[in-house]
Amino acid sequence: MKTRSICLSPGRLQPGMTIAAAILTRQGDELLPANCVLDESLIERIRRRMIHCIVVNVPDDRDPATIAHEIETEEKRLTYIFRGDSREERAELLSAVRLFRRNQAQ
Amino acid sequence: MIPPTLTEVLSRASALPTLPEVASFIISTIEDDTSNADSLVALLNTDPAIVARILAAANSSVFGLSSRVDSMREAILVLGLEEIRSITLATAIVDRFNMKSACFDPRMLWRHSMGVATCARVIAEENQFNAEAAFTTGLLHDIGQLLLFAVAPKFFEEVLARRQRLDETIIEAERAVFGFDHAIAGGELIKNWRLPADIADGIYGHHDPESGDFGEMGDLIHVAEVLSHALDLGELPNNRVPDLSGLACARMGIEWPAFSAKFAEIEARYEEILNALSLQY
Repeated sequence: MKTRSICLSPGRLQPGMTIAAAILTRQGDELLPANCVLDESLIERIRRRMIHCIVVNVPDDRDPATIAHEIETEEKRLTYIFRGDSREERAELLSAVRLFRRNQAQ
Repeated sequence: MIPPTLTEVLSRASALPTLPEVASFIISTIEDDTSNADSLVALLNTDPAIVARILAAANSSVFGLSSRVDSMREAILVLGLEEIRSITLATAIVDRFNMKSACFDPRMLWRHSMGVATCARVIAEENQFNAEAAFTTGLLHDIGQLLLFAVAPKFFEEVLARRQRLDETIIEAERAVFGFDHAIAGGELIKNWRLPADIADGIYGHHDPESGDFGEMGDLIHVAEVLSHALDLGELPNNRVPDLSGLACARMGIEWPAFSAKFAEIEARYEEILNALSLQY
């Protein structure tokens, strides 16, 4: 099955989810390796370490048209919230957010 | 009718509720490395509403622990002092400043403030700045709007209407109506409350850090505010990303292609704090 990587807060983790990227502690030590499958005890371990963002692989049953529509919706919103004149730095921020949103949608 | 001057607004600041004692304590000990959990627990335990809120947050699905947390001391052990202080401060302030009208919903302001506070914390962590001071300043950065609303609600509603009608920034609309803006009103209020100077600096400088010497906190809160708008945290219907000072970004050492690696974490942490405070949509 096709999957995609998304970032979740600890409260949204579920047993059976697969970690997409190694989880590091605040000190940079590896807490859990990539491709590790979560169970209740591992989720509790993550929560107690106050790790805020965990990248997991989730099933992705969206068809290409749905993905394209999501990207288009995000792009419209970005165009709206970044309306008006921009200095160079704001334009660079827009580029970074646009790339982030595209990667998120895909 | 003539809108009040800045001096008149500040002289009527008693229209705002005072900061809760626990919030004042947390802010006053932000830079005190020797402050320990005991003194915070003792103070927290005098406020049943805050105790209830903290325990509810600690036991909520956000943290989702399998065993129940039923004391403040245990909550601190489980969540960490830093998280407890953030949740307590945010709870105390959001609950206390809960004024609303048909045109002004403070929950929207608080969602935005939580977004700025979250961005400020992450930027501060990346730069080895004081993350708690950054979070607190982010939380309070728009306190000037609440002050203007509390002292002169009709004029503040005119600001909101004008902003909507002309698609102006809030600063432009406030200057047109009052002759000054919420950044200066908020900064002056924080000074009057005798809170740490860098918090006031962050508030003074958050819309235009190049207009004075507001230190690193002025730069940090400005960048955090713009980033929060750019990530659409709070999803204000008429959200518009303010202009961004290249100088502030340079002084903070922020380069967006590299810093974008933190965007997902910011969104996740924002969601956590909204859930913990029951401020979600």
